[in-house]
Amino acid sequence: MGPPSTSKWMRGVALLVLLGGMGLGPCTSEKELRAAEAKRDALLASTRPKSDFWPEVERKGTAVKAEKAATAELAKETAQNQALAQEIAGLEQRAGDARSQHAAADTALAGAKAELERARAERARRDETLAGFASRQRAGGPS
Amino acid sequence: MKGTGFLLLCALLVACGPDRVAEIDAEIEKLSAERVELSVVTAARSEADAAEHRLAEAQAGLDRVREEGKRLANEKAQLEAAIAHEGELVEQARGEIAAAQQATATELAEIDKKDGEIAQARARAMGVREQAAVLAREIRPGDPAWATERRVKSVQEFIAKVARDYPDDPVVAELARSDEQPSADPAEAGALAAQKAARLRDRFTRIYDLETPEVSAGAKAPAAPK
Repeated sequence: MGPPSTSKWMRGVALLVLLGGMGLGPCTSEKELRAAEAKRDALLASTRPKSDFWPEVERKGTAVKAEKAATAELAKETAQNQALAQEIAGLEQRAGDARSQHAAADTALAGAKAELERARAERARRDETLAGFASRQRAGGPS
Repeated sequence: MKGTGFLLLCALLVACGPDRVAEIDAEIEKLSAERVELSVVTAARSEADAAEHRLAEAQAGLDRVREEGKRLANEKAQLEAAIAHEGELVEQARGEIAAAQQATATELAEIDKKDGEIAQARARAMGVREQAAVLAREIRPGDPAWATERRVKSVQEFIAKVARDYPDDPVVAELARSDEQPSADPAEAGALAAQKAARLRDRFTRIYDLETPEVSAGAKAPAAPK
């Protein structure tokens, strides 16, 4: 087998490949391609990038964490308010007692002042009596 | 040879074109790894929204509780201030009561002292009045001269004593001075002495209110002279 026979052989192979390729066409069919594209499009339509998903998860986590803290704070401050309300109830009782004591003290003071005024008036009456003795004693005129 | 190579190249180009399906499959596989179902994203968004809504409600509740806490703290402070103020007022009132009671006690002591002075003054005056009344009654027009002279003298001595005891009384002083020049007529002297004794009795009765009901009834019984 010399060079002419090799060339002939290669030409034959090329022709065979060409004929074979023309007869089979592309590696896949148009139908399969469209199906694959449809599948891809459906996937794109029914999904979202994970970059859309994780922020939502993070947002939820942040909110839940903050809610938990707020709820705990709410419970704490509610308990404090209840304790304050109890203190206020006690203070209202004490304030009522204090007002009663004040009223009683005012009444007693008014009585003490009235007693003092009566005593002063009585003393003044006696001073007038003694002064009357002295002034009439010093006065002349008819006896 | 060249023609054969070209023919072989053309055959290879036509027969071995790129496989698009495989590429798309690979793309699908990559997308599947990079993407998540829309429903999952929607659910995650809904859960995040719900969590934020609950958070907003919790914070609103917390705000309300904090406002309530401020109101309660303010109310507590006001009550404490009111109690303290009432306590101060009570203490102040108690102090004023004690002062008023002390002043009243002082006044009552003064009243007792003045009552004693009044009783003593009236007792002395009562003695003068009674003695003057007795002396005035004892001088009678029909008595013998010696008896009248003796009673006139008693009146003169008594008036002199009263004048010493009541040096500020101008009327008593004047009665005492008029006794320095007695009448020579015993009857006239007796009548004059009786008149002076009666004047003395009436003057002391008037000056010391000796006939007022309370003194006469003994409600303010004069104390014995000291």
